[in-house]
This record gives sequence, C-alpha cells and structure tokens, in this order.
Amino acid sequence: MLTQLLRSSISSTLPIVVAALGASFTQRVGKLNIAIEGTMLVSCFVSVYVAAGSNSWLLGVTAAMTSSCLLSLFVWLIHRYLGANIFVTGLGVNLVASGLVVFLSSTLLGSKGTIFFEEMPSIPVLRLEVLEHSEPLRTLLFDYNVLELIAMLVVFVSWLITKTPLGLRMKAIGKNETVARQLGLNVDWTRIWSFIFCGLFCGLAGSMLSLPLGLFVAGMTNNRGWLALVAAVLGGDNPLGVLGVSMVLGFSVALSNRLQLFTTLPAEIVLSIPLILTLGVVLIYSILKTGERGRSP
Amino acid sequence: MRGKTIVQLLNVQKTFYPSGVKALKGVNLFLEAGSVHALLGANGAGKTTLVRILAGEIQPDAGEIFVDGRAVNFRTPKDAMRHGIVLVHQNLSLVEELTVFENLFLGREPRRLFFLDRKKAEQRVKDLSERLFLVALDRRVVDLSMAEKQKIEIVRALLFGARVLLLDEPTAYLSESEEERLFELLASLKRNGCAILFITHDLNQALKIADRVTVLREGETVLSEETSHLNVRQVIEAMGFRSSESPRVDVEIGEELLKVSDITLRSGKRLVLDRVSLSVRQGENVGLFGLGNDGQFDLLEVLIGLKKPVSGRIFFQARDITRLSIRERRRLGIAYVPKDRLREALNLEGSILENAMVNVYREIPFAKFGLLNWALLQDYIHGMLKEFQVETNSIMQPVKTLSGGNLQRLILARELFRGPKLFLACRPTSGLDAQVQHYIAERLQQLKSWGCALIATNDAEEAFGLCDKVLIFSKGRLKRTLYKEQLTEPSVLVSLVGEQT
Amino acid sequence: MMHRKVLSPILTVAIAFLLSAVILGITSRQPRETLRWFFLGPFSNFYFFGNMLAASIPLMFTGLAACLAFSAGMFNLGLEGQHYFGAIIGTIVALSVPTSSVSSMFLALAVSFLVGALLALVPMLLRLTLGFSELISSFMIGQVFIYVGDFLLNGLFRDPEAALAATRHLDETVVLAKILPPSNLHAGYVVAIALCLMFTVVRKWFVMGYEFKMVRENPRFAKIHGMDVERIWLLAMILSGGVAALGGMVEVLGVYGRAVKGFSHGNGFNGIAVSLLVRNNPALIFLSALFFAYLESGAEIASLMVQTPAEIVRLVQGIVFCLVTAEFLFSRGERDADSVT
Ligand SMILES: Nc1ncnc2c1ncn2[C@@H]1O[C@H](COP(=O)(O)OP(=O)(O)OP(=O)(O)O)[C@@H](O)[C@H]1O
Ligand SMILES: [Mg+2]
Repeated sequence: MLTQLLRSSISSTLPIVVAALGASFTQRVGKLNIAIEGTMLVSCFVSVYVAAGSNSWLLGVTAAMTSSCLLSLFVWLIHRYLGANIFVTGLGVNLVASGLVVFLSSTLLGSKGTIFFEEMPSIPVLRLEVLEHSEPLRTLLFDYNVLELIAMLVVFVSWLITKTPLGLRMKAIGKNETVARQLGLNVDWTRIWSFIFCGLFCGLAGSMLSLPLGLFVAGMTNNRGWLALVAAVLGGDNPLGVLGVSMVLGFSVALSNRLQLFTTLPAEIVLSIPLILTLGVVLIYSILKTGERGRSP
Repeated sequence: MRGKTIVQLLNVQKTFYPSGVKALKGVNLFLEAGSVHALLGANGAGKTTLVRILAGEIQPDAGEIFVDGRAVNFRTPKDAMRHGIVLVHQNLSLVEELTVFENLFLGREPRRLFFLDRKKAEQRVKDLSERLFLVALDRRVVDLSMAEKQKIEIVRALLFGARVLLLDEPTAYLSESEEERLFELLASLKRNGCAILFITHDLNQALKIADRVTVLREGETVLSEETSHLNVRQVIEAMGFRSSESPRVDVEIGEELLKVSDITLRSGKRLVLDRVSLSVRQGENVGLFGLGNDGQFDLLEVLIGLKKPVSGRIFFQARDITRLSIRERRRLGIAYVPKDRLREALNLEGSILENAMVNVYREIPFAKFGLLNWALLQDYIHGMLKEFQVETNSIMQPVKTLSGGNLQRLILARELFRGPKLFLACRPTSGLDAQVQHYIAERLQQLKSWGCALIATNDAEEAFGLCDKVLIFSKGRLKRTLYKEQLTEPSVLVSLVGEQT
Repeated sequence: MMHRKVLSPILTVAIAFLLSAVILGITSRQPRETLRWFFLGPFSNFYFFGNMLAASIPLMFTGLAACLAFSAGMFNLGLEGQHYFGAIIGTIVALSVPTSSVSSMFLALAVSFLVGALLALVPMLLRLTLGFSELISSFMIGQVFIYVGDFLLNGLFRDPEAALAATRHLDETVVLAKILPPSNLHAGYVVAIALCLMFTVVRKWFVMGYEFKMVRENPRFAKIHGMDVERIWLLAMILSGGVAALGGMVEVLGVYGRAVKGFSHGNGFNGIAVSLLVRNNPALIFLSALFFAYLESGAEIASLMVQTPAEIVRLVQGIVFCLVTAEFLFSRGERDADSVT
C-alpha cells in the first residue's frame, strides 16, 4: 500500500518536474512562460493522436514535442517581436489550447468527451530480472517505462545545463538584461534556446500524461501545468529545488487520486484538492524561507 | 612614454529626439596610447553622451571617428569592443547576483567540451588579479564595495583586451582611499600603453592625474590642452564658472532637533549599526563619514523609516518618532535624499513633473478632498526648478531625458525647496559640477538658520565642504566626533579613520 | 507616436475578425451563410443587438477589474473565480434572507463585492507577507473557488426542480430593470459605464490616481517618498476582486435571475484582454468590451442559425488574447534614446 502510494507519487512527480524544469528555463532568462498548462494539453492530444495513427509511441512523443516547441516559440515571438506582454500572451495560449483541443477532437475524432484509443502502441518498460521475490520493492525501484526514464534523464540534463556557459548566460540575462547586452551576450538567442527547452520538456510532460493511458479528454492536464509553474517559481534557479517542490506536489496529486478511488467525494472537490495542497505547500515553503532570511520588502 | 594617437574624434554631433536637445554640437578629441585624459564640463555639457558614442552605445548624427587612423562606424558596444574600446559606466554594469569570477568571464567563458573550464579561466586572470589585488573570485558581487566593483569592471575590460578605457565619473561614489587606489591602477595601465579617458567634476583631481584635459561646454570643445600648460583658473573659466570660495555661515546653535539613542540595526546576521547615539541641534550641519559603507547610509535609512532597527529610539523635537511611518516623518519636516539616484530617488518612467511633485501633492492647496490641482502644481514646480536651475524644455517630458547632474539638481530641489527642519542626504553633491555644488553648499548654510542637516558620505571632500561637525563611522560604530576647529582640510578625516581601524 | 498607440489595437481587432472569418469559412458547410450571420447577425434586429450590448456588461466589469489591478502594477488572474464565486454567494445570501426586494438586491451586490474582494485579497497578502507571485496564486485560488462554486450549485443549493445545476430563481422584484425588452439588455449597462467613468476621473485628477501610477512604475520610489505601497496594492486588489464579483452579480440579477453553473464562461479572463486592448484606459473599456461581446454574439448567432462548432469563439478569443498587448509597427531604432546617464 505504502509502496504503491510512493510509486504513484513518483509517476505523478515526473511529468510535473519535467514541465517545471521547462518553465524554470524561461524563468531563468527572466521571461517566465505561463503557457505551460495549455502547451501540455496540446501535447497530450497530439501524442496520443499521432501515436495511435502511426502505431509508434516514439513518433507520438516526437510530434508532441514539436508541437509544444512551436507553441512555446509562438509565445516568445509574439512577445519579442510584437512587444506583447508575456503573461497575457501565455494566458492567451492557454485559452487557445483549451479551445483547440476540443475543436480538434470534435472535428478529427467526432467527440468532445473522453476518447479511448483502441490500438495504442505499448510503451516499452525496462524490466530487470532482479528482486523477483519482492514484487512491491521491484515496482518501486525498477519497472519504469521509457518515458519515465527519459524524464529522469531530463532532470539530470537540466542540472548539467546550469553548469555550462549557456546556463551561466541564461542566469545573467535573467538577472540583468542590460548588462548582459552591454557585454555582448546574444540575449535573444539564449532566450530562444530556453523557450525551446521549455517546449521540448512540456511536450514530453504532456505525452507522459496521455500516452500510457491511451486516452484523451479535454480536462486531462487538470491544472498540472500550474502546479509545475509553482514548482518552477518556488524552486527558483536551482533544478534540484524544482525537483524537491515537484516531489511534494506529485505526492499530493497521487494522494488526491487515491482519495478519488477510495472515497465518494464529489468530483469538484477532488479536482481542487491538488490546487489546495499546492497552496498549502506554497504557504509552508514561503514561511520556512522567510523565517530563515528575515523579511525583505 | 606617450605613444601614437589611437582614437580621434572630428566634429562629432548628436541631437536627441523627440526633445530636440543638441547634446553635442561639434566635439573634437584625440586619445593617445599611454596617456590619461580628463574630460570636464558642467552638468549637461554632453560628457556622458560623448563617451557613449565612443563606446558604440549610441550613434552620432554627424562627424567622424578614427581608430588607428581608420574611419570606423560603431553600431553596437561589441563593435567598439572589437577595437579595444570599453566604457565603464557610472552605474556599473555587473550582474550583482553572480560571483566575481562569473562576471569576469561572462560572455567569453573558456570551455572544455560543453563545460566551463575553470582552470584555464583562473590562469588567465591570475597575473592580472595579483597585480590588482583582486578580491576572492568566488564572492558575490552584491557584497562588494563600490571600489571593488569598479576594479572588477576594469579587470574585465582588460581581459577583453581593452586598450582604450572610458570611465564615466569613476570617483563619484568612491572614498578618498579608494580613489587613490583607482589612480594607482590607472597609472599602471598607462605604463602598459592603455589610453584612458575619465570624466570628473573635480578639477584638482583632473589636473593632478591627467596628462591632458578637454573641457566641454554646451556640447562643444572649448579647451583641450596638456595639463602642464594649465592651471585651475583657466579650466574654471573655460567651463563658464566664476571661481568662488566655499561659504560657511555661523549661526546661533538652537534647540536639539534630533536625538538618536542606541540604534542597532541588523541585516541578516550582520550587524550594520552597533548602538549608535547622536544628537543634532538646529544650526548644525553634521557629516556622517565612513571610508566605505560603514553604516552611515543605513543610519539615514533608519532615520527616515525605511529600515527598522532592532533596538534604540529616535526623537525628533523631543518627540519619539521611532514608530512613525515614512509619511508621518516627512510631514514633520524631515527630508531625505537616498543613495541610489536612479532606482530610489526617481521614477524613471514618470515625467519631470510627476517626479518633482512627490513631496507636496498630498497637501493643501495642491490636493483638496483627494482632488489634484494640476495647474497649481505646475506653477509651483516651475518655480522650484527655476530656482535650482534645472534645465528643462517642458516639465511634461520624461524625467530620463535629463542629464545626470540635472537629475541630481531635481532631487535636491524637491527636498530642499520647502526648507526642511531635518535634511537627510546621502552623497548630495556627487555628480554635480562645481557651480551647483557651490549653490547647494549655500542652501545648506541657509538651512541652518531654521533647521539642520545630516550628510552621509564617504567622500572626505564633501564632508569637509558642507559640514560643521563630522562623525566618523567605522564598521557600523560611531568612532569619533570632529568639530569645526579640527576640520582644517579633508585629509584630516582620512588619516583619522586610518588610525581608528 | 500617437497614431501607433491607436493603430495597434485596431490591427488586433482586424486580425481577430479576419481569423474568425477564415476559421468559420473553413469549418462551416455553408461558409457564406455562416459569415453573414457572424458579422451581421448582431445588427439584424433589436433583440440580437440588445443581447450583444448585454453581453458586454459583465466584460466591462471584469475589464475594469483587470484595469484596477494593472493600474497599481498588479496582476489579478483570479478574476474568473471572483466573478463566478462572488455572484454565487451573493445569490445564495439573497435567497436565504427574507427581506424586501431592493434591499435584498443591495445585499446581494454588497455580499458579492466582499467575497470577490476577499478572494483577491488572499493572493495579495501572500505576496506581501511571503513574497509569492500574486500572478500564480490568484489564478489557483480563483480556480479552486470555481470548483467550490460548481460544488455548491450541484449540491447544497441546487434547485431540485431545475434541469441544470442552478439555484432557485430570485424574486421577480429583485432583478435589474430591462432596457430593451425582449432582449437581455438591463440597467447594469449604465452602472458599468458609470463605474468606468468614475475610475477615469480618479486616475487623472485624484491623489489616488497619481499614487497608483507611481506605485506601478516604481514601488521603491513610492515607498521612500511616503506612499503606503502595501496599502495601495491591497486597495487595488480589493477593488479589482470586488468589481469583478459585482459584475457576476449584476449578470445574475440582470440576465439569469439565478446563479447557473458555468454562467461566467470566461468573462473573467476576457476582462484582462478587454482592459489591455485599450491599454488599460478605463474610459475606453466600453468599446473593447463591446468588441468582445460582438465576437461572442456573432459566433453564437451563427451557431444558432447555421450549425457551427461553438468552440471557435474560444479559439478566436484566445488569439485576440495573444495579440492584445502587441505593438504592431514597433520600431527597434527607438531603443537607443531610452537609457540614462
Ligand atoms: N537619452 C536622452 N534623451 C534626450 N536628451 C538627452 C538624453 N541623454 C542626454 N540628454 C541631454 O543631452 C544633454 C547632455 O547630456 P549628458 O548626459 O551627456 O551630460 P553630462 O555632461 O554627462 O552631464 P552630467 O555631468 O550632469 O552627467 C543634456 O541636456 C541632457 O538632457
Ligand atoms: Mg553624465
């Protein structure tokens, strides 16, 4: 039971942390992309649709990453070249996405509700022939599917990136754009890179939500994009911090899923539980942080 | 030792739009390798504009720039850097949140595969940093003093291969000893064949340090001469100033206006102010002097109410004001000039009017029942700016179109115009030309007949010029009080602080 | 300078129309008919026309609400939740208190204002005490209360006789007067315009307007010069949340006569775009609200007359959102004039 809960919180953490790391790249360059929710939603749709059509999960993920990369770059381009406010544009993309997926699923698949894909390619799971005698322990430690393994790799890579010159430049640009320009850093390109990372990561995160289930429904991201944003904001510049917060949030999502299974709470309340828990996390985290450093205006 | 001419400017002109201000009307200047060149001129003469053009930040409308005898056309700072020309800004261009090391190599990181090659980088900076006593590479820049930051900028410029260094008012925020060290550094650069151009308002300094002096007046070169052929009077005349003695009026010392007892202030774990007590009477202008950031500026922030002390009390006219808000303190007649001009003293997004009215808008007759009387406000602000000689085309213009010195005048005008009882100011005369410095000194003398001033500074010259009594701070503690009789010359302060620490 | 400020919003509007026309044209089986109803439908008779004006009422409220927050440099993304939940609680209170008609109307309005203000206050307090971005927390809190509102309408306060999730009807005498029957246009229109005008005057001529501007542009400067920055932020957010909720209540009082599940359908978010389209100028909010209402009514009429998917409005609104703050014809050469000594 406990290992199950732990295992499912790892599963719910991974998409959140991947999306959060994507968002934290854009935050690091001082241009937080709040279109995460919408971008993930579109990737959810694209990945199952393409995977079912091509019978290849890899193509599905690739298509999802491409489309979310495009959306992410769209936010950036509108902001950079048309001078639009980035938060407003991000909000706009969220709205477009929620309209778009319903529109697409009703025109392409003829339904606005939950869509089950019959012939989904299965996602390979890495099975090690160890710990045969202890099934729960094995599920906890191994038995991850390829997407989840990629996600873990992504966490590691994001951490590595902060150690490279590119990571340093991103940070410098976020902290002080004028100075970065004066020093001749290519501010625009660095930012484009971080938006590309953000898009790729959100694409992966979106696929992780829909591909393993083989279904799509318009509300399927269920605010997880916003949870990821919270993790990115609280985690700040440090990918490990982002990971930490995401783990707490992933746990709360897993917990609310359990509640949904084992109790008869009304749907609306279940939907709001992750949000409420997240607000709780924000509260506790910020109190701890301010307690440590003293308040500053 | 003097080498060939590296940079030459011919008849450079620049007009700013939409205000149509002709900042430069035809400037000629040349810089030689292995020499120090001082650029002088009144506020708004166009000095900053000139160096920004040289550094590629803005483009001239007309005129030519030659580097090594070839005509160049800089579009970006990068172009200028490629020719070895680097501008060190008055408000420094460092990323405060990063470490010294990261700042030095930002944009030119030596790498191994994809990663930063720390070893290679350290090697590169090694002999430079030893020669210049650079602070530890891993400290964050926020924690450093102004002088250290400046040094980092210069080291970085050298790492980038600079041979022409442009410094915009490098000494404006430095203390005396820091200035000395900066000049030593410049001298050693000069020996290595760098050309150095620095802007300053201190004529004596210019004549002492520079090999050559150029004076701008209303956007034109009016004087360009070897320092050996010049004296202070000639330069002052060229700038269009009358030379004058600094005034000091003696008035009857009145009642006690401010009493501070046992103020202690912490920032995190650090003790910023350690049980500071002092008392100021009407008719006294008191300087708070420390070599660097020794708590004198923080004390003013405590007095105006920006920072909350851990313990201690503040009395103003025998009334306990420790718990009053900033607004209430200002209403009692306390005025305050913050240290950071651009971020704290001004709203750069706003117009001149909006910036100038901030201390009065709430009061009758400017506001009645929450309703603003714009016409009255405009008249009032016009009068105020005129009296303090702030040059403006229209007070509706954005405030950021004013030159550094005019901004400073605007700030002082706003705080001094209504004759405050207690005038708190951080470095009030830095960045002002001699004429205006003189004017401010006069105003501060007048102030004495009804109020008092507390002037926090790390510039001995300023403390000496404006104050009757100087309190010396060191590391958050009040060390010593110097009275008028002892204030014979600025160097007294510096040597005294040296003894104390 | 000036003409560019005017041109950009106009271009945004033009692009929005063009896109809607293209999308409608592509997806509809009878593109001609669809487009005709979409563009001309709202003007084809007084009923449709009145409904369009009525649809702009809640948008004016939420637009003004967004504008209030922006004016002090705050971002209120919880407008949707404040609009929706405030109105639901207002309705419930008005239903449960047996008082005379006019006073229960005012009670409902006051309660909704308070509830909205409270929902906006919490994220602001989080920001002031803990430093957490009000942008994200206001959204999340708003979202939570949308769920809670749905829960109330579905359960405890659902009218058992109604086919959809909604409260009981308010008394006939409680609702706002209609202006152009049989359309939905009601007295709320006048109230909305009056509020916008009031804020226009305050911004330009009052101490509060000046303080809002200074706080928005440089809070540190404002603080040092004696403005109570935190109080101004709180005030802006409280007003913002309150006005958003007031809009929801007026909508319930004027159009539905009861709180219906999902009645706000994006009014809150659109308020942000409404305000931004006219560069947060409260005097022009009525225009941009009308534009959004026009898009919406056009699409509604088109889907009523000719079968077209209604999601298209959502798409178009989203696209308008993306472009609403854009500065078309934005030249980069001007940058060099904006740095200081
Ligand atoms: N970006 C700008 N837009 C409009 N006018 C400007 C701009 N920058 C400078 N000016 C104007 O050009 C003139 C010269 O300004 P500049 O900053 O070069 O003076 P300065 O010699 O550096 O003076 P200070 O000693 O006060 O710093 C001033 O009148 C100023 O108002
Ligand atoms: Mg200058």
